[in-house]
Amino acid sequence: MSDGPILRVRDLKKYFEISSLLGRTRAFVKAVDGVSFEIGDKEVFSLIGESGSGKTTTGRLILRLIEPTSGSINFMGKEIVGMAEEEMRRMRKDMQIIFQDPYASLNPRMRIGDAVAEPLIVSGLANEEEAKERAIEMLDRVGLIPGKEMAQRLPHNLSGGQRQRVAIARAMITRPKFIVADEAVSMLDMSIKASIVSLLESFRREVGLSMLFITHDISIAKLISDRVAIMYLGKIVEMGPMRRIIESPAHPYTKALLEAVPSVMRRKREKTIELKGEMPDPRNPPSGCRFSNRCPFANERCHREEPALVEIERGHFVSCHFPLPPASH
Amino acid sequence: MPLMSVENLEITYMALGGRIKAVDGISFSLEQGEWMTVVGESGSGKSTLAYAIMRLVPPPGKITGGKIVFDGMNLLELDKEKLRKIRGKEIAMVFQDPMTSLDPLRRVGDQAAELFVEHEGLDMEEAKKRAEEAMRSVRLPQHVLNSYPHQLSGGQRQRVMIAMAMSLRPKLLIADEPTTALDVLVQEGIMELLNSMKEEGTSILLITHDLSLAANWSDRIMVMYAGRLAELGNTEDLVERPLHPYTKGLLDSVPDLWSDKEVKPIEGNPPDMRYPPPGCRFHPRCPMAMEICSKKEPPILSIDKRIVSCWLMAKEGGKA
Repeated sequence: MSDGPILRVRDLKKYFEISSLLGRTRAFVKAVDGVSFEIGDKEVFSLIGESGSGKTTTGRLILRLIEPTSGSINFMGKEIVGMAEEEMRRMRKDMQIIFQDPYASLNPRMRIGDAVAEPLIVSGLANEEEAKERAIEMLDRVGLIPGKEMAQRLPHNLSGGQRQRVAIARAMITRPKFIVADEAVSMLDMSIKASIVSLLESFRREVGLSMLFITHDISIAKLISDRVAIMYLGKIVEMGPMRRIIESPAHPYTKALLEAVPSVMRRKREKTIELKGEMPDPRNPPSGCRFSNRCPFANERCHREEPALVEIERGHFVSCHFPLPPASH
Repeated sequence: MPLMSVENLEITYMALGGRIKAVDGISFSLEQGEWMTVVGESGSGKSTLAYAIMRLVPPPGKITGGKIVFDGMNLLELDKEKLRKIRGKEIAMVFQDPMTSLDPLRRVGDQAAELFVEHEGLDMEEAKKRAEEAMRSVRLPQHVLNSYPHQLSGGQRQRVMIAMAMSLRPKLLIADEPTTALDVLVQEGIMELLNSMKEEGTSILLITHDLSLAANWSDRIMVMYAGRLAELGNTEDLVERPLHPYTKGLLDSVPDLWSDKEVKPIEGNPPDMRYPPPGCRFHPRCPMAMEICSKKEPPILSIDKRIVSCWLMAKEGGKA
């Protein structure tokens, strides 16, 4: 297990059927449309994209919170698409999720000690007494100190940052090998975000956690990711080492996205790419390259032929007929 | 004379079991054609401040002290009729969620046209032409006018709000977290629109939690913490040479795409405003806190073109 990837996703698709006006023709939103990537042991892999890019759907598919239309998800050497519920339940202790909104994911009437202990009891990993003890240790571990006292509190007595620590404690209590963090710090105050990211980072260091980090915030992703994939309308348009993508984006969309990120360091913005229009309706994406109607460099080929995701330098993939020239290392 | 000066503003929420001073003695002025951004975390009072300028503080909140002088008038003394004329025409506001100010049951075009009927006394036909122009000015396609708000994307709805705000050429635009729910590319487009308003002479008061965004677009930045002013200064000065430990803490805690500096979060959490700490409200989280900080509220000091409220600066010879 140590050298192979912990997660291997192949040609994953999720089409949502939408009712058409007449009810005769079947129409689909291709929310995720042929996504492939791997996440290595102890690796943090970020999925970045705007709303409608399919990043959140991808995360949910991997945890089988929703069922894929097709494709393969191999987790720790086992295919989990189509896996029986009983076996899936055993897998779940190894794969957990942290959501954006800890308000929504915590029962408002459950004391946080019980909320953190619950996954242990549900998965049969500990009896009630042991679970409570371990929950208190875990609360201490995530910085809700003293855990013994914090365990008695209700979610509404906590700040947003503290609630997200509870969500992390709840996710980590079963000692998972892998977690999906879906916009896990997006709603937090800026002075808090970095501390939650470093808490997640500490789990990677100490227990070898692998992570799929889903976010729209590239600056935050940069803090924690080894590799990154940029999604646009259900597809990965670019993928590679985080640092390399920032210094040498090859896809015009990636470049435009990077240039739009506000920065204290680069206050005078240098815009080299001007996008046209807005993100198209995902029900009706353009033919050929899905980015072609917004791309300043698109020509007739781009409107006709969909580009494949190809490796342009070691570990750096891009789906574009005319990738930007690489920046020197 | 500045376009607006806010003096010692105080806003109190009457809550069960006590009063919460959401805004506690805030003073600043805003020049014509200037873009100032108010930066703060949750509970800082930044949004309450914005609503107060429009006299829209929601109950149980009340303006309990101070003055807001806009174009020579104290807004806090105006009657309802005068206020109604000023809102929209002289001071416009866009909100984080445009759905709060758009009627979901009426077409966007009708709502925009009504604005011109109301504020400029145009007839319906002229008003509709103005609405078309307004949408063009923010590069929205004309079919938006025939759409209902829910048929538009979040970014389009925010553009509609800005189109409507721009078209009356207000002297001041207040934008409360206008891009918080939007993606960065959409955000950039909205900021460019605000900037074009500024270039035509409108003053901009942007409210945001995002210090990087503030740094990119504003002339001056005001940092608020727990209802009070921490620091106010020119963007360049404030981000290059922060004087208040909170400003410095924020700058250190924000990751930056173009820098490899170490990111250091500020320890602790913003205070529960029901029980604010005594003295300087930042002292429990401040790495530089001295004994006096927990006992006495720091004075508000002027240092060059900067305003800062911190005991450290008082020691270094800042003038109150």
